[in-house]
Amino acid sequence: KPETAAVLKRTVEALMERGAIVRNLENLGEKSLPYKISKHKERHRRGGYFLIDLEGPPSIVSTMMDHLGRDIDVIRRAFIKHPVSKTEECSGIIPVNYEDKLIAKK
Amino acid sequence: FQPIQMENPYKEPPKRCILCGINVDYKNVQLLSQFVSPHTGRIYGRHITGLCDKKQKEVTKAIKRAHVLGFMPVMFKNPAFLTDPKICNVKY
Repeated sequence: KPETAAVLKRTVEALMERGAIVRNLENLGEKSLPYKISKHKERHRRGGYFLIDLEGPPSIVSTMMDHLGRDIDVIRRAFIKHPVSKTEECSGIIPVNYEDKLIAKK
Repeated sequence: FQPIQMENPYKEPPKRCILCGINVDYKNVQLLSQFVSPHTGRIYGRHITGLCDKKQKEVTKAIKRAHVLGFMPVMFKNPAFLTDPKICNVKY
């Protein structure tokens, strides 16, 4: 467990160094991976999942992917856009008039 | 007397798919696993799940993302979620 803490600390410090603002850090638990992942000459079966809420310039993405790739303790790295959840406008299935669509395309 | 122009008073509310109003996330593996075959792990098509265009696309994208990031198994369905209620009208 102190190792995971050290990894997280390293990552967050590297992020802050490049000028990113860390909003939140979530631990999604330690589970057994859905499939065995071989990384850095080792076959991994269990792993800890962490989610870091980030705000920063887009130029750090490539440098951070490089940095995390060199870290032995990091199995899989990814940057994902912050999901903007907007489901209040979901108006249900609007019946599409296929006849009109076909005629219009012709 | 002239007929009064008005909106159809017998109009039914628009049909909603089962995910209408639910935010689809790549993290809730249980929800995503309900649209995946238990034997092969393949994603069900639109004619089986019965979802609207947007939601089907979102679900597909989320499943693919979960595969890559190591949240969901690829070739089969997570055995913990095998006993979930059936949503899609699959004919085995």
